[in-house]
Amino acid sequence: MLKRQLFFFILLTLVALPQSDGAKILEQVKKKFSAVKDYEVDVKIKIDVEFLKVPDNDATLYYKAPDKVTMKTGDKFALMPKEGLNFNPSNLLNGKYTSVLEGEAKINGKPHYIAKVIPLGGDGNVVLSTLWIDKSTYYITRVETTTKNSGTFQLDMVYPANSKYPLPSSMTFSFEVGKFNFPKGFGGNKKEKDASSSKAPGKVYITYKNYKINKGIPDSVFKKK
Amino acid sequence: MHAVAGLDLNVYEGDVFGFLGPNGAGKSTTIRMLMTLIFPTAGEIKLFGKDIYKERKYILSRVGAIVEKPDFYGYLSAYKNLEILARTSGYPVTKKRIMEILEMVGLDKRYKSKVKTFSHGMKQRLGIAQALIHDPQLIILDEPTTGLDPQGMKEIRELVISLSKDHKKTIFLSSHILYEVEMIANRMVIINKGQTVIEGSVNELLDATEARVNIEVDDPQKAVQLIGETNFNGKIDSVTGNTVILFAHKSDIAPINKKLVENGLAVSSIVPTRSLEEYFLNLTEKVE
Amino acid sequence: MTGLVGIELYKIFRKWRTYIGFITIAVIVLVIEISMLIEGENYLRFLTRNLSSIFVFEGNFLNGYVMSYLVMGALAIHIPFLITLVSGDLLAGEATAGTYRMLITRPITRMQLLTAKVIAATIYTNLMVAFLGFISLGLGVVLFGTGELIVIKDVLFIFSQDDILWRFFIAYGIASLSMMVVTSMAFFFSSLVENAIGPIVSTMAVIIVFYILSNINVELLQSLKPYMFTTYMQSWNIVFTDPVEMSELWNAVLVQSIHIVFFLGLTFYLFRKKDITS
Repeated sequence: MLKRQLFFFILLTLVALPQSDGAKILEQVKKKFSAVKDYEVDVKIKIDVEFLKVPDNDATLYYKAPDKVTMKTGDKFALMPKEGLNFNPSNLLNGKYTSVLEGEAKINGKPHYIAKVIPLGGDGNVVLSTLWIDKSTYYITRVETTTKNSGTFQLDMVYPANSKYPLPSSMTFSFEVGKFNFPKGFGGNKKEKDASSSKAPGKVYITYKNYKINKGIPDSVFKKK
Repeated sequence: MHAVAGLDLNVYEGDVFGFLGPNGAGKSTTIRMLMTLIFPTAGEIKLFGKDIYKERKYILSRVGAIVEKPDFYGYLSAYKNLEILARTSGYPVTKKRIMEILEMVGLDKRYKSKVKTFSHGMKQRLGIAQALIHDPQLIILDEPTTGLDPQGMKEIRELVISLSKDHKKTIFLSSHILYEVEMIANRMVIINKGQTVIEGSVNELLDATEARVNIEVDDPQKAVQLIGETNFNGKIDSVTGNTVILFAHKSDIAPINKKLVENGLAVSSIVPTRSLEEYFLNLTEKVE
Repeated sequence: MTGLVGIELYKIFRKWRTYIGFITIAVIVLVIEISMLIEGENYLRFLTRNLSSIFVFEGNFLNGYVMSYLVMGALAIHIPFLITLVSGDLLAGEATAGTYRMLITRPITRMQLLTAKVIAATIYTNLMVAFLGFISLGLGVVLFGTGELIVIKDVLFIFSQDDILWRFFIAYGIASLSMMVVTSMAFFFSSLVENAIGPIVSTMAVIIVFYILSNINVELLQSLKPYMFTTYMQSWNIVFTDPVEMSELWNAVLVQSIHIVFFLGLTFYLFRKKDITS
């Protein structure tokens, strides 16, 4: 009788242990991020998608905790991936979720935790997110997210050495683009192209420069014009 | 079947030359060929002794013409029309010159009016103006009195005479109205079916031929008898009411009149009528 | 020759129908620009709906450049029609008015007369296109400002602000050439008849029929497509890609030039020996 109970107890703790570890790690990540109250940063965006021929563009991003974010360009244009703009672990980790620590892996020689996060509730867009968390800094190096409506995408971050805050110096956003269904007539002659891949990989490279962190940003900046 | 074939015309400098023929004789065709509007299927055309295709510019700068009905840019003024046409000829036309010409044809007061407001007569006069504007030596007028009222016709005739006498122009005038030509031309040709029927001085030709004369008398039967007693060698055509119709030479008329009057007849009118067709018929009968 | 061309231009610009062209262009541009002003946001949203699931847009996309680009679509039918109104009248109009007789009996060669008319027609055509450019680009930029140009073909292009003007200049150049094809065809028809309606209607009929045929998906017709000049009337669009297919551009220029030379050459050849009976 006791043996069976002990067995179950050990089983339970074995199962429970990774979960609480995952949660602990994620708490750390969150903590690091909460040090950022607001920031302003200049970004350069380079888009490499088969169906888009867009010149590199610049913008200024603004963030104010917990969830205010906006992009300004003066009068020039900018195309910014939504997920890149809204990248904020707090988003993911604020609601109810379950997490599982799947294991560890090395990225660029650095050891990382791999945590799977599943938001509960079912009404959000995210179905499943996998985070690779740098063991030493608790910064998120990679995110792979599967969404309901926008397919699967991946974010890869690079952080400046010895940075105080989990704010990347560059981010690569990779996703798969379904062949765009552009309306006829707007662009004149349509070449008859082979229906090759109906899906193509797309990448957006974002570099961040001149972070101004925690300097105070008024709410008016985030007002939609 | 040719419209015009082997037409040789001799027009001398200073002539007012009548180009006569019934409708369809080929007058317009000839004029159009002269003015390089239509092309002959064979043969050559010379003006001033030069081939009109080889020396076109030289020739056309010395010729002014109205071909059929004169037509203009209706939405432009008379002045502007003349200016454009003169400039197209390469003629260094001045305002003074244009007004001079307009005055000559009696249109100077309407120089600013748009041609579409012009009456037919005015257009005809403007047509002559454009034929004169570049100071040509030869003026070709294709039935210039067509569609004009008697007053208009008179004005044109006077203008033609003035051009010949006062301005020393050579005029080539086509018409199907004999009396008109008779009045102003000194030489003429009659063509029919594209060929010359006869050419020569107006006076000589008309004198040499007979015309239809209507003599109105009180006793036509007696008149016929009396005429038969003269040495009249024309012919008596018919008697209608009080009118005796004969074909006679001009020189026959005075003696006939004298005979009738001397014999107590009352001659109320002697009307010679010459229509080209009749004149013609005479000619062609003679030729055959 | 300058004098003759001046006279022909004078005759063209003293007819009120010449101004129909310019007024109509102004109206078309205004209508397009006003509609874009009202509906533009919706339109852009519609065009970019695929992208907006992934991207956030910023920028003034309702600008003068976009307007001018849209307006150039009018080059397909509207502008050709306006051009035939004048070009079709150049020779036939003389016949209708009866002024052939006055002109051809002048001491100038028929070739000189035709050349003057062709030059005047060319000037008019280029003026129309330039006017289109001025009104759409000029007015468009003044009213709506500058910005980036979105062009959607099988790829979505966004051209940055400093990468646009030169494209428009070349596009207008090619458009002028395309319109010259229309002019030369209308001119050719004009030399054959005595009423301007004929050339206007025939030229537009040819254009419309060719358009319809090129869009029918039958193999035989599709193989004829490269020989129909209407295929190249949209070739101004080639400049709005990246990279610009220069070979395609030169090909379009060549084909259209051949058409122009053909129609004008035929006109000159036939007119020399034409009997003027009007």
